[in-house]
Amino acid sequence: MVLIKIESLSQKELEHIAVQEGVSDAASMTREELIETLKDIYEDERDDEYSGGEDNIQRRFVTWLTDYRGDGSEITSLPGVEELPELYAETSIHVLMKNATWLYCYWSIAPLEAEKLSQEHGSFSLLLHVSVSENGQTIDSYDISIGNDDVEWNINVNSSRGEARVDLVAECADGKRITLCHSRPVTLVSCYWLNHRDEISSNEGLLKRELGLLTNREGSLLVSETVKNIAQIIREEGVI
Amino acid sequence: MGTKASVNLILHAHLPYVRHLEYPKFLEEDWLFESLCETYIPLLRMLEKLADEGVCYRLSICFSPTLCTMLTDGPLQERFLGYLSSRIELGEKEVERCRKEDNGCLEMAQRYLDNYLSCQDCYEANGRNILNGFIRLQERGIIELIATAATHCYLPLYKDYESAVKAQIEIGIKSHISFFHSAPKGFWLPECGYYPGLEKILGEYGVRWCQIPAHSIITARNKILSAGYQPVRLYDSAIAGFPRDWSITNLVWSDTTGYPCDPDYREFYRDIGYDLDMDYIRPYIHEPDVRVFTGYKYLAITGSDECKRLYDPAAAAKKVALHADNFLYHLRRKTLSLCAETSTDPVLNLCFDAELFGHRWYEGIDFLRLVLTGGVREERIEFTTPSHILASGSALERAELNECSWGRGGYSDSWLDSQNSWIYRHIHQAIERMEELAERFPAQKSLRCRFLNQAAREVLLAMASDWPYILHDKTSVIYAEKRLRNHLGSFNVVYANMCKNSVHTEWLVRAEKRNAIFPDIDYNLFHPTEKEKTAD
Repeated sequence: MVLIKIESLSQKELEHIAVQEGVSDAASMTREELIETLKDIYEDERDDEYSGGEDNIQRRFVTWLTDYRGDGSEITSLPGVEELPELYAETSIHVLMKNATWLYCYWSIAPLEAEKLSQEHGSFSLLLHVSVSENGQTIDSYDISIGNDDVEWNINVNSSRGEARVDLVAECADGKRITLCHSRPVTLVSCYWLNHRDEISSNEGLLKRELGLLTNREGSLLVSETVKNIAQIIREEGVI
Repeated sequence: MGTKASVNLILHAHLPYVRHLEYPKFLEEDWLFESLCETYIPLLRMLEKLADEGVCYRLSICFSPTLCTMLTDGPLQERFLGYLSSRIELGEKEVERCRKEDNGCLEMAQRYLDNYLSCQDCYEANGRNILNGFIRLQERGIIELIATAATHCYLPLYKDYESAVKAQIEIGIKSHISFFHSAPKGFWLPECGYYPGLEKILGEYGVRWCQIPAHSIITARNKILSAGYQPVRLYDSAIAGFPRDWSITNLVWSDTTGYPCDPDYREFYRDIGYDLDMDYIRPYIHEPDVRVFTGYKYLAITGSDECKRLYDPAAAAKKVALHADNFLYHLRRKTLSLCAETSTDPVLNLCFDAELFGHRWYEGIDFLRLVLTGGVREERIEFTTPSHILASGSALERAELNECSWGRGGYSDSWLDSQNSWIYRHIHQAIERMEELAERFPAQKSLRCRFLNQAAREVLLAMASDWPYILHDKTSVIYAEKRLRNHLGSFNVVYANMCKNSVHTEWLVRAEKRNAIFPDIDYNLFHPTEKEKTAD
């Protein structure tokens, strides 16, 4: 799991993540304590990754990358090339699938639109409204509070089916919610074996062959959260 | 009960487009020169030798369009010859030095020198374009050359931009036809990056097969009875997906437990470019006194600490023979097990970065030779190609895969993390603006057409998977970031000027000279289809 800008997460989301990471007293912790605790957890994960632990089995030889030792000054720009802007003057939100449980989204609000919103409704705060639907039916939805200066977020999704959509919403002082823009839907990872646990025990041979594609000679499985979850269920079912 | 396994060995050769003619020497161009000397040329010579000896083998190779462009680029070809001359001159000095010092390195110094000399001969014999040699091998029916995306773009993170994905695929295939004079049946998905719907686009361009990640089968949306040991049909398309066998591949691929980690093998990181006196090595490194690999390496991996023993080529030769045997043993054992369990002959797909062999793993080319020659003697293994397997016409099981890749974790984490996520805001914006330009200014002629075509080149170059991966891997971060900002900033020059109905000719002339890739590009490729517009 990779977390971007942990300091920018809301208290609510920090608590949610901490609970998922097995922190039992998350609800009683301050924001600072939550950040420190989560940083420790992720630092440990990172240490494992680079110390030859289980995660490392999947690292491949990077064959052509030699360290660049210049300072970049020799790669000159062509005439007329300017620095990239931080943001673009348009209102839009984009969502990308990072992995089976995390989405990454970035957005921008056109300055004119923000100004208009302030003029018409006074102060406002922003939130991300996440909705997961399947065959047109909403199966989950929730809000994530964000700061007005935030421009990107990592969103945890727990659904193993359907598609997710994220709306950028302004919540005005008068209580009105205005959807500023919405993302395109993102199809979530849906895994047959995770959705058909009842069939695991009757498919021992098949699962054994499928896992055989992913197991190295030391007996370690390819690193993938979804594969790990399937292996866990197989173990729980006492199949292999 | 099955009887024999078909083994698809698929090598993928790729380097990002690095060409800085504005400087007499540019450090990152060494990526190409080192790969040529240590992988591409030795690989070609080995494959030709086996074919001439009548060894009956088959394999598939992908050369990316950016790599092909550099391999056929006149100025880079000249520079490579200069690089070879410099390495030969150093080799002659090294042979003399090692003889005088009697330091136990003479045999290897002579071997490296001989290799550079024979590389030079082979390079000239192929008209300075080694792709010619691979074309001949394809014409003899020995290898299958396959295509990939134009700039090796990691496609799942662009799935909302169908015009850009189509441009990557179409230019990738057109480039392949231009370099190899034949239409490819196979398409290497960069980083094994797949998303549902990609198969439809591939089908539109006549592609018949692609490789898919190992875990895509067990994590699929439907139950796949062939369990990853047969090609599958991707959704309702006619595209066959060949699942990579991670368990066998990992015997080589892993940088902690793979064969290349053996202590007897040559140490990649200990090079005289770093170890010898500056005064001696100065003419062969980069200015000002930037130490680099020279290719002359005399130590064995030995262990993880600083203390290394001298490389012993005889010990390494024995070890590589053992490892090739062990590799074939694992293939044989897996085949026997699968044949006993199922009624069909299994298909095993082994996908590797080509540059691992020879460049990173010095003994890797020998390993491939021994595996291919040993494979001929195996009764239950046949090295073949996906197109040969598909030619049998067997019905394929339908597979509904999720979005996936061969990156760590199996999804997009490597190309979308805290180090590189910022790039997508800018690249997506550039694609949207490129679509806007294609829509507002269709079928332009002359200068405006060149201006828009160069804009399309800059967008495609920004989309390369190499930049986010370098940012993720923290290797050549400054270079990758500079390149990205230059391509995107260059695109913005065109966008800003076209919005004013003008052409920045000075920029255009210099940009065309700097990024001389995809000569037949047509910016109209970025014109969004009606369907895409409706999706918005």
